[in-house]
Amino acid sequence: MTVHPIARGTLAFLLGTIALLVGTGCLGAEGGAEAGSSSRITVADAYVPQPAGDVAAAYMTITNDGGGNDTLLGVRTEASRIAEVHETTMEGPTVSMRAVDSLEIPAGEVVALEPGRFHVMLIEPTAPLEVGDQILLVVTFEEAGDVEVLAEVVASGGMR
Amino acid sequence: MRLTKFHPPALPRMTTRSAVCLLLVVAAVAFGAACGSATGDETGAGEREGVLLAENATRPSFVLTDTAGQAFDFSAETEGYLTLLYFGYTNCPDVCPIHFANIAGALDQVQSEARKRVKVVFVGVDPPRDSPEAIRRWLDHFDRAFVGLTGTDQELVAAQEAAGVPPATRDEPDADGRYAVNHAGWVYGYTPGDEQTWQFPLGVRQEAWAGIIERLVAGSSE
Repeated sequence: MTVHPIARGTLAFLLGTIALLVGTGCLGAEGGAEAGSSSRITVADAYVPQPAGDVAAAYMTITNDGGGNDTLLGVRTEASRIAEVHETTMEGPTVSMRAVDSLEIPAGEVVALEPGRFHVMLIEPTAPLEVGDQILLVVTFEEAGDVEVLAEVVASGGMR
Repeated sequence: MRLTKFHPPALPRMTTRSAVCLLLVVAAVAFGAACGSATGDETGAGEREGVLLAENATRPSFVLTDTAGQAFDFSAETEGYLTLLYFGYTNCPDVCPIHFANIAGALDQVQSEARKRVKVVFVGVDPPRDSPEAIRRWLDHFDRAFVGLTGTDQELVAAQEAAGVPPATRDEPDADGRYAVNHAGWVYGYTPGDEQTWQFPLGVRQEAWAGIIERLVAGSSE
């Protein structure tokens, strides 16, 4: 079989990405929903690095195993006064952050809320977030409805 | 969280031409990652490397105020040390704490002799919220030895220009009075004798940080 080098590179990259996603640690609990017929959403690997200041970030992996697209509409929690989905962007050396009203979760895809890309910003935690705490996040999707996930507060160990 | 390292599958024998093509693809991917472009599907958490920015350049010169209220002359106070410099803000939920957790974790791994030859300097570029107390509290979460600096808007602009980064800007506050700050997302590294200036994007892993800190303290980038 002849595989064009570019295709081969892309394939290797895709395989690597899948391996990376599959290999992502198994912190926190997993939540799923099957409200809509076309979207099947799983939210897993949710964690919150213990914050250094008044704001924290929650990261997680969202999988849509269904045949239809879905859209993340927002996150609720009692762990902080406000929870917003944010996107981090880099332009040259400058890093910026903006709230996103919705986030597409296409059919058959995995969307990672991960450092430097997307996170749920937890503004003004209602109680100190201690390592080992589990906080309940309710993630709302257009099709799948509310999906609950427990996010574990972890020591802010950076990217290993 | 641990991420499994990506080991590409062994490639079959290639012709020179296809090897060159593949090399170009790899180079393009690496270039895109190093430049932190936000286009397409790029993940912020991809593994990245430090970039050698300049050789034999003098480290920036500026004076700000440390968290104890004392004047801090950056070039004088950090002379002879491997110095890591970052412009961030304490209400930053994502990139800033990840960088600092990485650096703090890496410093825990390096030899104690090397550790003594490193200074880490955080400049808070959001004076309305980055009070000396807020900066101290934020840094102490990572390492009590980290230096925190603040200043007036004018002093902060001068410091960022001296370091060759675009000065940070603040977004318009929302109805709640909250706002994000657009700031340089790279950590800058100056070797002890200013032989080299390095730039580290988000995505340099803790292990890689530990290795590069030890090498740069020793005065070698090999």
